[in-house]
Amino acid sequence: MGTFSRSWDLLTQSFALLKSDKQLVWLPIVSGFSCLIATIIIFSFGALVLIPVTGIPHGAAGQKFLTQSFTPVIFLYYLVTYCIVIFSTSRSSVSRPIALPAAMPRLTTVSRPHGIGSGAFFSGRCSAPPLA
Amino acid sequence: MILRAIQQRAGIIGRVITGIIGVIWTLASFFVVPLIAAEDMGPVEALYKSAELFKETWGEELVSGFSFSLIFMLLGLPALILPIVGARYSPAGMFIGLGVALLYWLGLGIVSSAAQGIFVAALYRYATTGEVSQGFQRDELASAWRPKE
Repeated sequence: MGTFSRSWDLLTQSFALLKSDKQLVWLPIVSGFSCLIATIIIFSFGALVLIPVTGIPHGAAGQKFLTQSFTPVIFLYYLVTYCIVIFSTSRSSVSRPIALPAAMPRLTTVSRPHGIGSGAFFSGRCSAPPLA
Repeated sequence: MILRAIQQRAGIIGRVITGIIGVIWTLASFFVVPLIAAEDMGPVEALYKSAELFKETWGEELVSGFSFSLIFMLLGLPALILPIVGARYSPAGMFIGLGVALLYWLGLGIVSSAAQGIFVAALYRYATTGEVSQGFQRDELASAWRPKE
C-alpha cells in the first residue's frame, strides 16, 4: 500500500470518529481562534514598533533591515501559537476537552464503570483510565 | 523554523545534519502531547519517552508511511480557483472569492487539526498498549512508520 492511499485511509478512519462526535471539533476551533487573535496582536505590535512612521522603506537595504528586524517577531509568533496549540490539545484549561485528550476515551473499546468517562478524565488530574 | 533557516544558509553537509536533527525532533515530539495529557509527564521527560516509544514499536531509523499534510494540501488547492474566477467578473469578486477560499482553508485546517489529534491518539494507544482503537486497522497503524530501507 502506498503512502498516499494509507494516508487517505487513516484520515478517513480519523474523520469517521470525528463525525461520530462533533464535540471533538470544538477545541481546534477555540485553538484556531486564539491563534488568530495572537497573530493579530503580535504582528500589529511588531508593525507599530518596527515600521517607521514614514512607511515601509523603498530601498533594498532598508527593506532587508526591516525583514531582519521582524525575525524576533516571527519567532515570537511561532512560539506563542505553538504554545497555544500544544496547550489546547494537551490540557483542558477551561471546562471542555480538545481533540486529542477527548479522543482517547472514545478510542478505547475497554468498558468502563459508570462515571469514569471523559468528564472524569478531564475534570481532574485523572491518569488515563481508558488506556490502562 | 530554526532548522529551515540553518538549512537555507548551510551547505550540503549542513542540510544533511539539519535533516537528521529534523527527523529526530519529529520522532521525539510526535507523542509529546498524548504523553503530557495522559501520563502527566513534563515536556523533557515526554520527549525522551516519545523517542523510546518509537524505538520499541517501530525500531530505529524510521520513515513516515503517511502524510496528512499532502492530502490537505491537495484538498486545499481547488480553492485557489475561487479568487481567479471572481476576478473575471469584478475586482470585488476577487476579494469575495479570496474570502470564501480563506474560510474554506480555515475549515480545512480545523478538520485537519482534529483528525490528526485523533490519529495521534490512536497511534499512541497502539504504541503503548498494542491495542487497535475502534475504527482503525491494525496493519495501517503498524505501517504508519516503517524502518528506513
